Amino acid sequence: MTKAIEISDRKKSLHSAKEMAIRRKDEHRRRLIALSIDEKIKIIESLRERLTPIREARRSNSNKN
Amino acid sequence: VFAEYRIEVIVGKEMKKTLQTLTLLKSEGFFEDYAVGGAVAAFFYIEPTLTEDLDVFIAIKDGNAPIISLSPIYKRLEQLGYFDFEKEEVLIDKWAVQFLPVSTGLEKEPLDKASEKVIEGETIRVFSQEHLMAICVSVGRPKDKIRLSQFIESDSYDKLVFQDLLERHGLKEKWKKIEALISDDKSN
Repeated sequence: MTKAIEISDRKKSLHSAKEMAIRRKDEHRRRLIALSIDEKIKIIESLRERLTPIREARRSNSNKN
Repeated sequence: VFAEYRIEVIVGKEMKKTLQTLTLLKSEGFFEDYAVGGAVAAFFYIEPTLTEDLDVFIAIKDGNAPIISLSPIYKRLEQLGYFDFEKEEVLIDKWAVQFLPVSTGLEKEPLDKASEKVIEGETIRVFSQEHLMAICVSVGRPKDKIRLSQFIESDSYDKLVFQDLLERHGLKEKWKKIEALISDDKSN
């Protein structure tokens, strides 16, 4: 009986953790949608700038192979 | 991609220069009209997603001719100092621009109906949300399906306008299949 209650509690807490994660993700999405177009463009430009060295390294590695 | 991303304004106004060059090309008559489509246009309506290029749909004289040459545009860009060409794209400042000449139907209508918006102080014309969605249905790549689900979740589009576009451009069957996929993804 105790074990059954423990499992049920665990399931509940996993369920609420999942719900919380979904809620956090939705909130994050809403914040991103609400940004101005200039802010959105800057995010993408900044992200690309960070990814460029990684991509170049990958490209040069694949060229070597 | 953005889960851990802090919003930092660390880059200058790079797209502004790109847009100014497009305006210059238009004023010099290299194309009659232009509007931004693709991912950058979608930013006006949904959350940003990583994109490498700027899709610029252009109306040029003799747009219905069997062969359309973009050489005059590329030559002018070379004169302006833009030599970096990759595949069908040209790097104008920090943005790789793909020029897409429109002819008829679902290419021309979004350009005709595009609305004026401002990016980094530059006024440009941008495809409507419903036209962007219809193009996503028509093209149907995996990234278009993801974008469609983002549009649907945002719930800010005009459903009647979208349905009308699907009907007029023969996209209803294609949409049904994509809609079923999106619903399946949501329920999982």
